[in-house]
Amino acid sequence: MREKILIIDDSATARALFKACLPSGAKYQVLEADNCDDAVALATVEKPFLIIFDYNMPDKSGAEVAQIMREKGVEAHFVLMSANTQQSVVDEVTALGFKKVIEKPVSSEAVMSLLEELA
Amino acid sequence: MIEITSAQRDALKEIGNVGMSKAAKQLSTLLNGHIEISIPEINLLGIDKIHADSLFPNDEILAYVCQDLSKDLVGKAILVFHREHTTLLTQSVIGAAPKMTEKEVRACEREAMIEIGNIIISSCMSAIVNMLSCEVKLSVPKYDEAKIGSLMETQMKDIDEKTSEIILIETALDAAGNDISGKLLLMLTKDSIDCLFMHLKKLLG
Repeated sequence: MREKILIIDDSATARALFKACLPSGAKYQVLEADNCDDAVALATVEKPFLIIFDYNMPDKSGAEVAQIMREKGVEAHFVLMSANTQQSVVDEVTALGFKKVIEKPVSSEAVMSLLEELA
Repeated sequence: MIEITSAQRDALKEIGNVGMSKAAKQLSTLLNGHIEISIPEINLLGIDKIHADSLFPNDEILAYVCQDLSKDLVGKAILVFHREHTTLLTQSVIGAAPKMTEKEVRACEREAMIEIGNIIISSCMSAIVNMLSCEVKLSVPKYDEAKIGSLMETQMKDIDEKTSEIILIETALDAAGNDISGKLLLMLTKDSIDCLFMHLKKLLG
């Protein structure tokens, strides 16, 4: 069965760039959400093993979405993918148990390295 | 006038978001505090619209930092602030210095604005260069003050090739309750606008 990855980003371009960085083949099934409600619904129903969060989003920040998921008992590896890697942001997501912060623009090397770490 | 598709707008918005976020990170180090950043708004405006729009009141003296662009994208990157924000920004960078003369304060203001402008413009241009795989050279930043009409006239004069569009990137940056937002105008030659959209098309596959 393919492992599920949920990517949450309001930008379709950012989601497409992330998907383009995944290794070729059908090992992963990528689920996408561009807002908090859809993201929480997908995370609770589909139970992805990895959730990639953008930080700057219109309705809620990635950290706020992660907080809601934690409260709902979502168990997955949380990873931040953002260009906004101010120390305060890194500290905020680290406190929420995020495994890693990947800086945008994302690269294939960064995604491969992340997947190897989580394997 | 170039028609911009929703996919192109989304891509430009993401590039603007990456650029402004990287600028916020550097500014947070410089100002020693967290910088709140909004989702950027991206618009392609006709040059004539800059005067007609209520982006900048015609009679307001604006502060701006400008850098020339060359290589793949030729034109100007101009970061425009409301004049009153420059004092706030300067205080954020150099702190309160009550013993300085007005001339010294003005000199510091220019230095601080050039530094902040350089951070924001360079971060945005780096995002464009990295994400679109193109090459852009930036000149040394310059600071000046002018009303919007005079600003546009001066900057347009330096662009040999006629252009009709400006890419406007607007993001709210907030440092501990102080609004330090600026508007970034990318004034490119027609060939460079075509080049930018060609690279965007490649990015979007």
